[in-house]
Amino acid sequence: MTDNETMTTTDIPELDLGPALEETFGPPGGAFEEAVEKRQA
Amino acid sequence: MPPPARFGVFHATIDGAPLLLDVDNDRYRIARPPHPIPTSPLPRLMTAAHLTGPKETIWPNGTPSPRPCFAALTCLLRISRALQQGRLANLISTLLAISRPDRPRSDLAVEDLIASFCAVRPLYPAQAICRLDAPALCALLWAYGRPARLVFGARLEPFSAHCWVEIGAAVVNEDREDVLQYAPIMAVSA
Repeated sequence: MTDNETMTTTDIPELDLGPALEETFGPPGGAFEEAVEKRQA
Repeated sequence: MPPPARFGVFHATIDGAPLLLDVDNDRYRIARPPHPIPTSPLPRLMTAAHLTGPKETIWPNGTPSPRPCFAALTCLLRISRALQQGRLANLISTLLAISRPDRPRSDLAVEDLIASFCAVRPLYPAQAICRLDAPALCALLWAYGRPARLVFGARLEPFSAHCWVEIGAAVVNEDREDVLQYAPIMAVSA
């Protein structure tokens, strides 16, 4: 670790949140989902 | 064979936590500073600094017509194929290949294009999910000369990522309040 990194490091823990594409699924019940459900009903 | 495109690392600060979107390694992560400077060699990729929350919504209050309906199905198919490769970089590469920024602006209203997309969407045999529908709708709007952008955003506690379409200060076919729950981190413009 360089001096610069030591000075700027915070207490925030590093964390891997997962694969970017796979984790991009948005909130349930969005407008597209409603359109599909209306047509299928 | 040309080398794969490099898209870079983008970041946003959410509730004081530094969130990184590493497109090339297909990862979301929290990382301590110092961070890579979030610039991209591609001018069509926008950083969080250029993105603000939408002020209104454009809904599909228009009339579907055959040609954009067919185009919407084509866009859905192309995006589906890109998603099968399983990486965000592949999706962005596909979008950039589809896009033709010099495309002439159509006389059809944006509402008509969205209505066309929504009319045929139930016919396409895939679950409604933002990573398919938003890029496909964005590609359709590009095909008709509309300056849409595909925005990627995330929230924490719990972590969740989303993507949506914007034109100007409006989000397309999505409740503005839903979108404002996510901090924009990167966008692909036309």
